[in-house]
Amino acid sequence: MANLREIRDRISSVKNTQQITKAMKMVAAARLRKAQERVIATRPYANTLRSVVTKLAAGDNQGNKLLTAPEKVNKILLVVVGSDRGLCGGFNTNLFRYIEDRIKTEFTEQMTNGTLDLICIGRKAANHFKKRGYNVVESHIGFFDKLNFESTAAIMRQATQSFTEGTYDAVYIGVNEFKSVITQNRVMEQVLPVQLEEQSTDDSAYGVDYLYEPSDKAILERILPLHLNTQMWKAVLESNASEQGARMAAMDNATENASEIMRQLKLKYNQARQAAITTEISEIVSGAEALNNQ
Amino acid sequence: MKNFETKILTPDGPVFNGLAASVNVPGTEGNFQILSDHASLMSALEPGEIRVNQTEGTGEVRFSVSVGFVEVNDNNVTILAEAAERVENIDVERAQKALDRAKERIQAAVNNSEIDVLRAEAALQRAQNRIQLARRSN
Repeated sequence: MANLREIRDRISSVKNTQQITKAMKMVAAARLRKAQERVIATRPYANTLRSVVTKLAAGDNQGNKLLTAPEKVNKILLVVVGSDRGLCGGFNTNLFRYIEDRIKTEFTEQMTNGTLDLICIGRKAANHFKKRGYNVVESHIGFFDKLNFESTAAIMRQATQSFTEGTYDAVYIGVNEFKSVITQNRVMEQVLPVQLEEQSTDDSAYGVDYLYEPSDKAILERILPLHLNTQMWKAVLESNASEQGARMAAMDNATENASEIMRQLKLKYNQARQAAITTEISEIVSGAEALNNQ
Repeated sequence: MKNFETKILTPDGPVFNGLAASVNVPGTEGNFQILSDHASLMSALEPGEIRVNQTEGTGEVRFSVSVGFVEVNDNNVTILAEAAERVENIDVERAQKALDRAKERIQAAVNNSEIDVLRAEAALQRAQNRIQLARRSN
């Protein structure tokens, strides 16, 4: 039979842990709400921008570097968006495993040639890929503590410039997409050269003859970088929301597990207490008996 | 005068959404004014000032804008900008800091090819624009 005090100590330690996980869950829930609001706030901007880009790109685009795919893809840049902090379940591990699988199947050649560069956002991503010997050219640690558009856009601007200069032939983003509070979609998308969608007919810009100032080509050239920055910004915001959601779910599970452990420990404790009382009584009784018999 | 829908959208959310009688924007080819029933137009924007004239209510609202884009279609004006804020809300101190930083970077770029001069110059222009607008309104 376990020592009573030992069980009591364990109960109080589990209780402490539970208080922490509960608090973390609440913090994550609050942050999740904020993160979702930010995702929603960018939507009008991102959607309008996308419809304008599709409209403009539907014309003649000869000579626009950002839209033209190089004949041979030698150098690839991959931006991985993870998280800075842990305790968020499989949020990071699942994403990294997925990305490594994709790299193995799709970029085998670049991997063996050492022409695959990584930019890691978030401490966890940086640690993971550095440890495994990937070519991490840049890592942004503590990025989510002061999450803002300017610093996100700066990363994309740099990548866009490298692409136009020919340093890279393709740029990808690997990220957790926000699906719902408890589920994330792992995606790895190509952002450069820009992938265009079909223009839908219910688009506000569809079929309208615009005056272009200075010209449609010049506008497209100026607007594509904005579009790319927005894609990056959206990816980062979605990842941030997913992270908070994943942490909330993980902490909720942890809190429940703690309750279960506490229930079992309490049972054990009571059993031990009862056993101790029974022993004590039988000792007293047998002691009294012994005295009576004298 | 007829009014039309005007929106100013940024990555951080809309900063203006309402009716306007006229909108002045800093186009790449020079400033111009949009009135109601304007022909469909797309234009790139330079860092500068957007002035939205409301017929009712508070009258003129002014915004500082970084690089962006304006679309006019069917009496709907949509302005997209990476950053836009009301002139009254500009944090001059922060803008001044950004200005100093940009200047430093341009200076340093003389000996260091790693630094992107174009980007630093764009940052300088943006900061100058914000400071100018804020000073003028005070």
